[in-house]
Amino acid sequence: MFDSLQIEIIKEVINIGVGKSAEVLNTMIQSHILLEVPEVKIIKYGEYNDFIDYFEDDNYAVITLPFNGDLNGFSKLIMSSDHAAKLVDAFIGKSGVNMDMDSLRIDILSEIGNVIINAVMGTLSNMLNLHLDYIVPSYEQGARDIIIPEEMIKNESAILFAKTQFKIEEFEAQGNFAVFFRVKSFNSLVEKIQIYFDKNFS
Amino acid sequence: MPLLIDKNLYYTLDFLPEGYFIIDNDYKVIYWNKSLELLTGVEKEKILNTKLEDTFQNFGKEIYKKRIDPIFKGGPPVVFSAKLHKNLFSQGKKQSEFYYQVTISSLRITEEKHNALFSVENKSEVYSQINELINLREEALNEIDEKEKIHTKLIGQHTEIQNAFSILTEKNLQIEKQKQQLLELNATKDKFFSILAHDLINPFSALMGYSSLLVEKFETYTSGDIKQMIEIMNFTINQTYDLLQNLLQWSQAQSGKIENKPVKVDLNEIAVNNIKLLKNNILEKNIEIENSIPENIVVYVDYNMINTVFRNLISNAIKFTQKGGSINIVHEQQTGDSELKDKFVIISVNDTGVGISKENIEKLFRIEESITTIGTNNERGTGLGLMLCKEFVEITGGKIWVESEVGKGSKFFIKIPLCTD
Repeated sequence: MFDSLQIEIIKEVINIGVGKSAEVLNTMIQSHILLEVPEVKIIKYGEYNDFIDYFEDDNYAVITLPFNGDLNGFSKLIMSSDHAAKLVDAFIGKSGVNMDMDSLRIDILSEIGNVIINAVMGTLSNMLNLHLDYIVPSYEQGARDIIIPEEMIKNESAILFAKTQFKIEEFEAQGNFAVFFRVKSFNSLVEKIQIYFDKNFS
Repeated sequence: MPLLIDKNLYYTLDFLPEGYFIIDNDYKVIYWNKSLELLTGVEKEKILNTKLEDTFQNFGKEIYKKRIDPIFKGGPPVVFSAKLHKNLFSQGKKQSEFYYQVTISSLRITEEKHNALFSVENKSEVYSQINELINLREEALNEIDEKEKIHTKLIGQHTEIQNAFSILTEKNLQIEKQKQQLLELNATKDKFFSILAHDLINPFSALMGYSSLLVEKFETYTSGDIKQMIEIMNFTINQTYDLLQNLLQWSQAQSGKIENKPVKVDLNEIAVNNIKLLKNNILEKNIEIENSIPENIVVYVDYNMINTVFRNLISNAIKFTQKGGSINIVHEQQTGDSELKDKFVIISVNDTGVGISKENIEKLFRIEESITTIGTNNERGTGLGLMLCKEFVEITGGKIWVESEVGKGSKFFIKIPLCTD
């Protein structure tokens, strides 16, 4: 599907995107936030079960940004509920706020997720010259089966999976970034990457 | 696919409960719906065709522009949460009392041009509930804090009371100890006066009586009478001398003047010497005395002290044994802790005398309760001897005790340190 060079290009794009989101997040909180992309993987339809096994916690908070246009799919920021709570703590402080207040947590996590996803998707579309239309992001929480959208399974799609690490001084939150593409989109993505490569490296 | 923006859309947005407004890429407001007039208090006529930051200054800030600007290039929707951006819609210095959740989406006007559609949801009610809960929680936490402080204070006071009580108990113990010492001192004084008043006066009365008779009526007595009187006087003088010796040593011990100078002492030798010294008394009562202490049992004690102990124990045994009875001085075999066996020796003085009642055994070595018993041959005693024995044995680091049965005899034990060199 992708050769190693193309994977490297995707890695770089994600890296730049995540870096941009870190810049934004740093202006939003007092603590210094560090985001890393240690790993980018392409997961094929047949590997979905292995992919889902990677998520071992009971509960997850998932922020989804659906997109269409040159590519069709969903971007998702996936965090275990524990890590999501830590991340929210970093933004509003620990004192006086009960993390069980879903409404508050959803609002803040939606925004944090939005910053990260926007930076990555914005970078992806800018660098690869993709025209994407977005639908308003949504927030979900529940068991790990909410991670893969049912629609994706039906359409035998692939996942571009980036494991992202947040480090916020005393708070340590960890999250995962994943982009689900429909198979058709993959071909467009490969094409766009090839154009980007030809333009910049050959 | 470009979104169609026309009057129909505006008309629809006007009737939605959420606030909606649209700005172009110069941040100029081109649409403001009716709900927003209620939400922000800003009328459509006043804000249309003006820059958004002219009314809401925060939108002119770099941190917001940086996030909103990509919208004008068709970028993904931007979310501003109510909690993190409470003052986004503040006007001038007046802070917003409302919580607005804002979502900004890109509206494609032409292939290259995009406007930004703001959706503003009033979350004030939810947040006022959240804030109320937070306040309640804080109040509860403060209350818990206050209770904990009171609890800690109470624990502190409790500890102080306990400490004061411990000090008081300690003082009571000291007072009790001092009281005991005073009782002993008083008993010592009483004992001293009692000895002076009776035990010393009586023999002198006897001596004075007999000596006066001899001086005044010597010629009227037969030589047999005179011998008998001189024998009584001799007996009395010997007893009184013993008493004086004990009294002297005892008073020295009481005033702390007696010095403990440990030396090597052969116990067999001490026993033999004291038997010799008391030979007359033994012969007079026809008592059979046996010394079973083996030779070369060497202890490390003050010579005078151990000598006084042996003298008093043997003399007491003679005093309370009937004529024809027997006394045995025994080196006791020890059982148990071998280390102790190597450090101490136990000697007992056994007699077949009158014995001591259980009641009196308890009083034997206590000055405040001391008892005096007349010997089987009317020998007088002061009870001082055994107290001296106890005092001296304890100075050596040893111990004295007694086993006895009325009518069968007594066994006085002393445990004293062996010479380990």
